[in-house]
Amino acid sequence: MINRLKQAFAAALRVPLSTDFESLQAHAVPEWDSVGHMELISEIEGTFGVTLSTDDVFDLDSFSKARQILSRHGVDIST
Amino acid sequence: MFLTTHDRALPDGPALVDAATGRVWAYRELDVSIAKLAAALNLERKGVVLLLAENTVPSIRTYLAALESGHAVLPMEADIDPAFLRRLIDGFVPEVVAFPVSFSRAAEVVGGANYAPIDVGEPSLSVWRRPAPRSVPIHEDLSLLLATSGSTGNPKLVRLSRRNILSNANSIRSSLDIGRDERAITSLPPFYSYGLSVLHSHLLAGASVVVTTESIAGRSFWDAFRSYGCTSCAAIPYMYDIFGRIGFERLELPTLRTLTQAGGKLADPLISRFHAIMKARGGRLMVMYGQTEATARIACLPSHLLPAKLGSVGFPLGGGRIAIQLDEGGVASPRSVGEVVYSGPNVMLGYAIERDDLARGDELGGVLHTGDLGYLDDDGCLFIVGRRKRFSKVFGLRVNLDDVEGRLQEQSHVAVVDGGDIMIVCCTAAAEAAVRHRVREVAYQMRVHPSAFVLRIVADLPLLPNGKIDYKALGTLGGAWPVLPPRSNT
Repeated sequence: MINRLKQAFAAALRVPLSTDFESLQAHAVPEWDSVGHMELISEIEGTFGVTLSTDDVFDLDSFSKARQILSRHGVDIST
Repeated sequence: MFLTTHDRALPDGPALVDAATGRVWAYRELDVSIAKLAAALNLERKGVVLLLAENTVPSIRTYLAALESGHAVLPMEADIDPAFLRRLIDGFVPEVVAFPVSFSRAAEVVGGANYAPIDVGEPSLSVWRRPAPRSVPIHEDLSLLLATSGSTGNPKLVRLSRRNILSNANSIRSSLDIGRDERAITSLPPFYSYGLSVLHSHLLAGASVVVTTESIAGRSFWDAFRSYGCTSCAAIPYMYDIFGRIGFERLELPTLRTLTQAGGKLADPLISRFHAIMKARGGRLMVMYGQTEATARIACLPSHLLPAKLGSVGFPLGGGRIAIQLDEGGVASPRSVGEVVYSGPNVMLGYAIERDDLARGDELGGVLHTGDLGYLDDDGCLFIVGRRKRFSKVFGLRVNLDDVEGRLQEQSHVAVVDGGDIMIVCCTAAAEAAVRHRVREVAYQMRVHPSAFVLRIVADLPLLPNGKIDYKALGTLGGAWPVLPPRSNT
């Protein structure tokens, strides 16, 4: 699961899979601008079959936040 | 103030609200502070003020001060590539360069070009002056210089006069019926014609603007919108996609009355959707059309004509006129497609590619060949159908496809065609890996997200007999264009 989340981030933000995702923050890389953010939301929704709320979209500002949000949606991302 | 007429007293109410601090700037206060800044610039004669601008109160006050003191102000993106800043300085020889203190790379560039820092009493801005003023004079009518192609390539600037700015601000004010109780928010960049036109029209109306650097994709923006009671928001097409993704209709925005849209064609389903959302809230969506060459805005569709005139940009703003010029010559009958020719007091003086051009006056006589193709329907409503030249709007940024193609072509042969809100890069399978790599670099240089490029693999790039790419044939090669999905959540 964690690898699928990494793949979603890599695809949406056009960054390599080798990126240190655990420390990745919104706006810290040029690709994570407002357009990249929308790509990321779509990618996560598509990968995990969830629909993120307005609050989720606003809150998702790091890789670890994405894990928390997904676990609230019943997706266990610990492995 | 520049944006208030001299025969009228300054409005009593607020002009700017700083969302970062909550500080309210009344018109009188702003006026005093602008006059102080203008005096501190202290130039012996009219000069160019290059301002690397952000949506902050100090940036906006400096912008207004440069206009106020009769200089020609050139606002640019704050975080521009230092090499591009150098090209601007070499090409336009600005007397003053101002930028946020946080942008230390700019200090290296201006220091290297022999500028010296001056104190204008604004701690968050770094202001530098050229020691020896350039002898080439600047035309007395010139007030504002705006870039048309973003902060890449060779800068080409639009020359605008005070009359251009005031007439456009006034016709926007009247077409949107902006009164003193209106309050906008800085949803667009302050170096972009549409963004500046929001500021200009609201100040001219004695209304107010909430100043924030926050992005529309973040909660803080909408918190500021709500808590400072904003009544309108200006957005370009890709921002409407974002509105869709964040669940705009569920946002609690009790003071919102008007959404404006310009900066490219918004897809008809999105126009319908946001018209319905705004109507249900007792507000309105105003679809507009404009060009930097016409200061900002040209036409507006009154919201009561939706959905009947879906896809139209409406009628010319007050003082303007639209004609359709057919390629074969002659007068266009309704519904015949030709180039949109706009006449009005907001048509630019002309272009500038170097300092010497700034001495020139009005070269267009109020008539602008927009380069857009369109038609008027039986009721005189304007519909835009495309561009004459190879330009594309990518996430709101106007890009020259030939320029992008040139940058991508470093190692491999590619052809770039318009794909709506994105660019389609055509290349052969053999070149794919190299082109993918180069796209990333070019996207970074152009400061657009890499998703603005979509690769399409072709067997061969079709060529014309003269060896140039045959774009017409490329367009009819068949197969679906791969289009980026700006998914909506409905």
